Amino acid sequence: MTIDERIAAELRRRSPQVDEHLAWDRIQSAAAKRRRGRAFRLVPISVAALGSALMGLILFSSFFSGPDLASDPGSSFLGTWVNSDTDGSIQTMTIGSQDDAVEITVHDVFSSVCSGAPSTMTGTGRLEGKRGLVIPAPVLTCDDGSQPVAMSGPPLEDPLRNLTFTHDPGTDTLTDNIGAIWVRVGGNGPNPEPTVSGMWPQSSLEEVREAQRLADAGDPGYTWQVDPELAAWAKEAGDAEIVTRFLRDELGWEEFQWSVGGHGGSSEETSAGLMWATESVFIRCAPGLTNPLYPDDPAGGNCAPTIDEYRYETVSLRIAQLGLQGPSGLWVVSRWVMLPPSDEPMTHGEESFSQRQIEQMTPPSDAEATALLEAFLQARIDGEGAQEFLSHPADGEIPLLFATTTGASYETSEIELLAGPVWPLGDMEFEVRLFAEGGETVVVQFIEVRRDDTGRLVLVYPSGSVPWQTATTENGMTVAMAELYEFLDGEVTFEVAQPWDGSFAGWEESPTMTTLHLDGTHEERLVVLADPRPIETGCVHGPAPGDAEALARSLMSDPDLEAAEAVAVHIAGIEALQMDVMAATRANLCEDVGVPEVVAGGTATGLEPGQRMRLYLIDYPGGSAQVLAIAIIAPEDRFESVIEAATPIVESFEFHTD
Amino acid sequence: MARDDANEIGDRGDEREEGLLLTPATLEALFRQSYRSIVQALALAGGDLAAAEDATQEAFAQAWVSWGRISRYDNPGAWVRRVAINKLHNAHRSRLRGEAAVQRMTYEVASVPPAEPESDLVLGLQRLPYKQRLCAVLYYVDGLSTAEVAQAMAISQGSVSQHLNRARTALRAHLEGTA
Repeated sequence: MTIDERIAAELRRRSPQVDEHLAWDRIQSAAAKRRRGRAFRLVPISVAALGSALMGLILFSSFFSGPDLASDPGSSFLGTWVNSDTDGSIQTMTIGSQDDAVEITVHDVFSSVCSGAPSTMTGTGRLEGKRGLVIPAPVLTCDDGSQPVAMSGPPLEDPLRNLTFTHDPGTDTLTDNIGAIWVRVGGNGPNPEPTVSGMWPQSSLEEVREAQRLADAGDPGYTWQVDPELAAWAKEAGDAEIVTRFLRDELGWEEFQWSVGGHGGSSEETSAGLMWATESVFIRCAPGLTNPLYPDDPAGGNCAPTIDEYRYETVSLRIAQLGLQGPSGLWVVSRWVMLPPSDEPMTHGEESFSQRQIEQMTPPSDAEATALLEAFLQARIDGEGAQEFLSHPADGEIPLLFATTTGASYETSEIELLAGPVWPLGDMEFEVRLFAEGGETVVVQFIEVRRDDTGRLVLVYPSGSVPWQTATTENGMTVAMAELYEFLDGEVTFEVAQPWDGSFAGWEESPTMTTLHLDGTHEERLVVLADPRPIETGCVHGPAPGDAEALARSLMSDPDLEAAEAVAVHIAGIEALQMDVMAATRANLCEDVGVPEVVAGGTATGLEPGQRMRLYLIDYPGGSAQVLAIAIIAPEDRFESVIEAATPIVESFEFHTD
Repeated sequence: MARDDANEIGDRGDEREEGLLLTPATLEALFRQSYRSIVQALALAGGDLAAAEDATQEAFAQAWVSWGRISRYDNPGAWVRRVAINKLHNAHRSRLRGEAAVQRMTYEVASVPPAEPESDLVLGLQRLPYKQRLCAVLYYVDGLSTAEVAQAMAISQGSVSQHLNRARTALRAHLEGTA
């Protein structure tokens, strides 16, 4: 084995485990939002997984309330309700009354806590006020006789204890404490939407098993439900025959598409082994019609709304293998919901595209967008008022707002539409060019025009498809923009511009330590550290000194360091101590770090042979720390130039303490 | 090492339809092929798995939105990888800015790797200068060629070779216990 192969093998062995299962779904979701704007945040996967696990664990918790059952035992609580749980199967709940008590029975065709077997939960409830029903101690049993087991978290009894339900008379739905909605079967409530329906084309697990047997025998009436590609994650739900047949045969939609223009939905395998395809939202397109508002949009141009000029019939559905899993398993639609309209305007948020009827917005006209941009650019040429056009105060940081890097004012401008209006929200992406010095200097920026939540046209910088670093160029060169860094909850701020950059390394960052690198090098760096702790004999971290002078004395007496006498300076108007430090010739190496540490901070505050550190020690004026250290580290031969490069950062420090 | 896999994806001309958006199935194939190794490489380089996942997923999401254009690149995988690297940088900067940054600190602390690295080789990796470290993980963990590393990092292939040589020397010492 070569050295390269050995290194590769060892590093791969040490690589963290990566969970792909939720990642693709998150990418889909983020893409849907990104298509409408750049502002989105991906939920850390660990949080998403936790939420999913929790939902799975308490999938039987349900709450409802309504009229006082004690006085009205025949009220709207009684009857049959359905709910689709997080593993994609359908739960059916029957509520009846016996004397003064209320009895519930919940059947689940696929229960994760029963390893996929059906389950039954029974319980006797009591009223809580006029709208609450509590089931103190429901009993869950697996229909196959096995013992139900919680997949994670507390014992199963805990989340089932004191189940409570709330009734919404307006929609005649029951909502549980995790937000799941139970819909009355055959109900004719005042607002029947959202309509939740069950499995298709089979309607029970027994039917699925029988269909599986027939498919295994080659019956063409059922083999079409087998989709090895879907089970192998090689196909998206929108391309699966189970979906296309459902939309055409069951819903009667001749034309349809995924709500954001693609196909949507990837398959996943749950911890219980169940294969499912993630929730996908589809909209119905008017057959043969071009979308009048977005005739040229590649995603929405061929999908005209079906309800009116703006609104689409919208269905959210999930497909799953409820019986046999894998390439030979049958796929069914395990739940589907006709999503209701909303009185609120569509936004760039995810919920607008997953929890409500999809609407398209009237796109800005070229004239509208151009007028807005031209007014913005004229304000920049005039030297005032440009900030008012930007959608968010933070966007006031747009580089070179009123002048070039040399301070030259702008004289003329151009705009060019790059993309859009993008269906369904009408975002438009522009390249703007500002000219100065008789056209010798050209500043190019990428800006988006979009409607905000109130319908007003606003500007967003930079546009979503352009990396932040390259969103502004001057004569073809990327323009560096100083960024405001916050430290100690914003009590300390400083500005950082290229070629300084934040550390890439997690071990160089914490709430009390920030590391910047110059030109991406580790050797040349600046470290900001709160309450630095000296290194004592044996590489033990000593207690944090009470003030800067005490720390300076400690460093000067450290036999592993060669520290110059501290001199008084000012940082942000506050008295500070400045001292230069190098590692002593025979300095003890701290085993964990591999180099002598000046103060506790790992490799960030360690000194390699030939490196020098300039240390500023400040008696911190706030209560969050006692001493603040700024350390600039560089090889001896580059030390002065690095100090010079770091000077703007040091001079930008501000303390925002009371 | 399957160093040309991403190229194969990018060169699937038979899946293209001129002038139309391509089916994202090709993007999903790229995802299945490269997501894990990109995340692992960036997590090793930055010491933060969650941040590496965020950055890589955002890069794929961005690719999805512009897939009609990006799929026509010679190597869409290289584009995704480069964007992920940039986003990791940006995310780090963002964490240090504004209230959102402060709120995230709690999460970040939990994801910082242990102070004591698990092995000499990982310790050695952490001591490498950033560019050497990134070169090393893209080459050894992500399985890229030097040309692909250069493309991902927007530096010359010669620089990659220099960084890799230095990284290899340092890592070899750690591997053999002579560091």
